[in-house]
Amino acid sequence: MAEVFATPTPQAHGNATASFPLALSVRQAKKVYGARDSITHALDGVSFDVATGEFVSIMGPSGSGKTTLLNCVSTIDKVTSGQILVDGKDITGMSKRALARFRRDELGFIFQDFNLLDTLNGMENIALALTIRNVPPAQISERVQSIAALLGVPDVLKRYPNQMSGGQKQRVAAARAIVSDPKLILADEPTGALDSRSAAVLLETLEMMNAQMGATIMMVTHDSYAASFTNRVLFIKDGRLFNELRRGADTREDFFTRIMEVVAFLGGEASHAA
Amino acid sequence: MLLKLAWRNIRHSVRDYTIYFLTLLFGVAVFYAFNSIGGQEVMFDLEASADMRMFETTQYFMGMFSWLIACVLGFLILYSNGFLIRRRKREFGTYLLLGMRPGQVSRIMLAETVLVGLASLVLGLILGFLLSQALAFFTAMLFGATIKHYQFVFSPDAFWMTIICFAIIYVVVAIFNTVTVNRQKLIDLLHAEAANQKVVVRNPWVSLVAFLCAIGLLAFAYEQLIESGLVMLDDPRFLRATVCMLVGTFILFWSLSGFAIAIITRAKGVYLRGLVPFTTRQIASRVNTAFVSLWAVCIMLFFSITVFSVGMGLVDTFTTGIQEANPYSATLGAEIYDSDPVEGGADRPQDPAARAKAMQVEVPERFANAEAHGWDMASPLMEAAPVLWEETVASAGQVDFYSLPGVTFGDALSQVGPLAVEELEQVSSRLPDLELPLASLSDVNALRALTGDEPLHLDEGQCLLANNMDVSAKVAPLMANPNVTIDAMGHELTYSKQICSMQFEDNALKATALITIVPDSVIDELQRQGIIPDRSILDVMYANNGKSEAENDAALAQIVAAAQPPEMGGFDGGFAAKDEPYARLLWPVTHIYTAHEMISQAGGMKMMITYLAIYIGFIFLIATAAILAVQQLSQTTDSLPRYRMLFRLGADRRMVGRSLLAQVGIYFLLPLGVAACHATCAIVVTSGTLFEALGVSVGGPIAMAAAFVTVIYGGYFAVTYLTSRSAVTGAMRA
Repeated sequence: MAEVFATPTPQAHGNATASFPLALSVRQAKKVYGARDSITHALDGVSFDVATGEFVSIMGPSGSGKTTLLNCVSTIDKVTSGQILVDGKDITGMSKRALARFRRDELGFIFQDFNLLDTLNGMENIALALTIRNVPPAQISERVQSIAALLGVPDVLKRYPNQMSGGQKQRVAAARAIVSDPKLILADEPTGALDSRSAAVLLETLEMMNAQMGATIMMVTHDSYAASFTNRVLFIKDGRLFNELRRGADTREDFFTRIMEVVAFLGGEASHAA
Repeated sequence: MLLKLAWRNIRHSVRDYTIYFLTLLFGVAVFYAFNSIGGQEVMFDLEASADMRMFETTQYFMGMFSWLIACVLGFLILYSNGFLIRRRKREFGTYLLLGMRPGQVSRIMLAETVLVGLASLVLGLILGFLLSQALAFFTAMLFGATIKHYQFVFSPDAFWMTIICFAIIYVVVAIFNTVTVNRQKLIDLLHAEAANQKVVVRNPWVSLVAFLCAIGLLAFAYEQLIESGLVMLDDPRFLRATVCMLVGTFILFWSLSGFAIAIITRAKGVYLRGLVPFTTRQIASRVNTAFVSLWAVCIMLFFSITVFSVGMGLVDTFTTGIQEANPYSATLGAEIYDSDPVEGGADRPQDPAARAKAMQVEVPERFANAEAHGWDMASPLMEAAPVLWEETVASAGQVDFYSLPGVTFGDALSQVGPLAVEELEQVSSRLPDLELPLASLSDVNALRALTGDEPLHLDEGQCLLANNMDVSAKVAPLMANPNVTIDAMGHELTYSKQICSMQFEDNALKATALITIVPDSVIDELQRQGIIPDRSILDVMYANNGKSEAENDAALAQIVAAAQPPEMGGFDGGFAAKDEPYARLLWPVTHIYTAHEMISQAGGMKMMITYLAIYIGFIFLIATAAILAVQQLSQTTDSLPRYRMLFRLGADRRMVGRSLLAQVGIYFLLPLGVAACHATCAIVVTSGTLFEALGVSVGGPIAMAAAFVTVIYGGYFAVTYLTSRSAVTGAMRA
């Protein structure tokens, strides 16, 4: 049970810098909503690092600030104070145009509600990530097809989103996120709208993207099962980092059990507080 | 409570409502302004009844076309309203879910409709009132008059007509809304959002075939239209062209995007760049779902462009050279013999020598009267009202027109060659058999003296052709040819190369048509043989007596009435009695044309056609542009999640702005482009047959139509683009 109370040690990150380049580094990120009378600290000084090649999940109950954190990292929202460095670049001070370019060049997204464009077919949806980046048209087809083959969706490229199953849509979205070779892929509850079978397939796909294609993935989820596929789980509660679990050499099942303990504790404390 | 909710709803969807509301406002304003034109007459000094009549006629036509306009506006309102409703089904679903009764929801809708309708009606009427004041100056310009008593004119007729028309439209809208809300199932209302975003994709091969069919049909329609020449509207070819055009355009819009997508997606080098795939699909899906309204918009645009440019072209035909066509104060005409087989003229003798006899038998008193005065028109008038004549007329000159017995146009032009005769037949098939009309040199010179022109001179054995009419402008130079010789009562005469372009009489058009001016001796010979003129005209110039032209016109009519008491019948001034059988046999005067009357009639005509063209063109344009704008804006609203998604993918505002511009641009330009093609064909055909014959260039009206379309349509386009962009940018920020 000792692990439940373990707090992440800042020193550990310093060591990581030497051996692995950092894909993401969040430093004392604070986000404050509202004015004088009703101030909400959505993020209250969060710090953590994600090394290149890691698959990290962020867990926390509703209202814990995990979505705010994701929005700030994905540059859709801005932190009130603190720094966020992606691939060594501080994104907190960038202009809107620079942020758009940054998102385009450095980030990949997977959302809960798929977010494929329903007017475009699978091929075009994946290609959009490349065309926005002005990749020469000649290379696009080939890249899209090889990614689609790796992710097991080569046969839905000609279909439109409303002709695909939920799992297919989400894997197409994953293909779109990785096709442009981003520094960091952000996934927001990617299994949230999937049945358990499709969810498992998607999570294996993400695991494969991480292990074999070298993608760095940060996934926000409240599903322990989903989190158990990752290398490391960060728990957030009330805008603060509460705990950190590393999978190490554990099997996925063991890791899942450890995560459940923390979740149970978090849930118990929450109900106790209430 | 319901009212409050309705008001909130309007404010909430203000983006969708703005264009709808502005269009209603313009519609009401223009509707009122154009219907109030009749009321403007009080601002002008309109002494002549002819001027008054023009205002009445204009008013009448405006009223007539206003029903068409009301239908168009009604359609626009019903359509846009239906569109706005469709988009708010979910909101209605929520109301019903919260336990509101359908009746209450309908009442909210009704309140909204009434609020928007009332506001647009009140503001529109105010705007229309101001617009009608400004229109008065425009009227003055068209009418060639000056505003004598400027005042605010309020037209109760126009006011009530506007109120009634729009009240009817709003009632229909309210009924429609109530029915829509009542008939919906709750589940459908709540899931309407998903239905809005349905993507329609068409099979590319079917599209290709349909597209080719459409092109074929349109080509056939154009060919038929060109062949028919657009002269008679009941020509079966015209009917075929119309049907093919309608069907072809419909299929074109149905198949266009499927076809275009098939082509563009294969051009990977062009397609896979930036947001091109997104933009293309967005437009294609729009066109696929909205092809019916695109079709309707295209047809309406075509109609408005054509009406506007043809209307403006017609104005020119009626009014160009109206001053030159009326060089005299007034023309008194005496139609004596007319070979035209109209009423009463059918059994007249063809032989000129027999005509005098016929007239003597038919109307002995008038023949005797003419003989007694030696066919001099001025002398009986002077006798009848010597004082008034002295006071009114400064100078007068008479020309008698005779037919040259035995010499026809065909005889003269066959000396030039068969092509010349063909040209002659083009003008009129009867012309080759018509005897040459003659006028004596001294008569013509008497007219020239009136306008202060140098007298003409004829060499020995020479005659001179006079022509200024556009219809016969091609034949005149062929006939004015030294190789053409005629035998005029024993005199061998050769045509001079010169063409005299003088106007012999006041008329709506330049009306001197192939008159041969001959030495007096020829006419003397005709008279000696007892031949009477076919027609005589007496041109008068008014004295500088301090009276207005309209007053002098009235005095002239009084002089004529003194010589020919009204109870004699057959005479009614102006064009009115031209076709009455006895009018031809009255002597000395069968008709009066005065310069003042002609010019103001032309002004009135110009006013009427210009206003009708602007009125119809304007309403159709704003109606079509508004439909496109409402559709485009609501598509943008529906697509906001897509833009949010693009934003996350890293598309910056400029990229999205360009994509939007392309979407709005193509959506607006597509129906305009097709309509412009159709209109070009129709206008080219019309100008080839109608305007060319009347000698009017169609370039000006086309430029005006283009400017008109650019300003109004372009305005809607700009507003739509800017509103869409701000909506999208707002969504991106959120």
